[in-house]
Amino acid sequence: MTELAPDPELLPQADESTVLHSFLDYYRSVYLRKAEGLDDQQARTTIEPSELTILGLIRHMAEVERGWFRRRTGGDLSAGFIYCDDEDPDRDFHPAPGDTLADAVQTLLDEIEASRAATAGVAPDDLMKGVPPQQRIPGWQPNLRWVMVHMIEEYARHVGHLDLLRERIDGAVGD
Amino acid sequence: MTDLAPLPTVRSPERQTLEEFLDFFRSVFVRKVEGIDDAQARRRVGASELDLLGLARHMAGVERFWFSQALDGSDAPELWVNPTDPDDPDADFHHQPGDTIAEAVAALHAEIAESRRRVAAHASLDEVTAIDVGPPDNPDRFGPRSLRWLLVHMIEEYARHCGHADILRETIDGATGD
Repeated sequence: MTELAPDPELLPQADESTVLHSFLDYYRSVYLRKAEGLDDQQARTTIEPSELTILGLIRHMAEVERGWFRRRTGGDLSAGFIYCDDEDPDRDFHPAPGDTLADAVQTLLDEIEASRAATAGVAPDDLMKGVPPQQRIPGWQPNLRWVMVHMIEEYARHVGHLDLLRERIDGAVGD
Repeated sequence: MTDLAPLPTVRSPERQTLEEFLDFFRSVFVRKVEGIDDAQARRRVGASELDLLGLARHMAGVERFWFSQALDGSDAPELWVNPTDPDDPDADFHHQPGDTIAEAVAALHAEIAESRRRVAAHASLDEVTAIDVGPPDNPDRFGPRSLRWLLVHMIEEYARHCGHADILRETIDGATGD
């Protein structure tokens, strides 16, 4: 299991960087816990008409971690998509019948490790090193602060989806 | 219908970034609970007791708790009281048959305006809450928290409840996105 920063409640007066990293790590851990103990069929449960599933959401965040941290923060633009491609840019949400939750969780853990390596020593005001040449707004280059806050709300919003999916599957709630 | 707030700017200093993200998610959340009737606001999924009426009341109470009661030590009363159980800590989610989504959304708008006014009066993100917060029986978690901590917490609190609202709203009328 990835080593996670302390719960934000234990750091109520920390500096900016510590607060951002602790909230992000906290949500990473909640996110992974929402998928624990499920079989592959449960991980494909939906709440119609939404097409979201726990399997799809786990795959999605691995893709998102790589995009923001390994590629943009770390500058490794050679790291391509994990699941998505031109034919289906949302393939993270569209697993094939044989794709497993265990593989998806391991991939997310690997990406979190890579993300933590990419952010080590980077300050909130530092700009992204990786600027993909084909991005929608040429030259668009946020600072790490924006990326960190974005990732916290991205995880948190998807945890909201996981909350309702997991409660539907087995009644489990909370963090 | 409330307008979506501008997307947060991408190279700004700390305070501006946190305030812009919070205002953005306030607007996303408010839009999820606007434009529905009282029956739709009570729609639930599966075993969950969450509904948009309860969530709207909850966020109005959360605004009041963190920015009026905790940050400034205001003695503003609890917004929601359960008439059948005055000590119910979840009176926001336990609404009564006569409670309306219009009243909840109006309360949320009023509390957001009050919170913005109070935050603007604090010069530094290092300032801490006027009261100790957290579980009183846990000394590691009970104490004052900084305005910086509050703002990040409120961003993730809104975002997580926006996730709940996403699924509830999609089951009500198919609406998705921000």
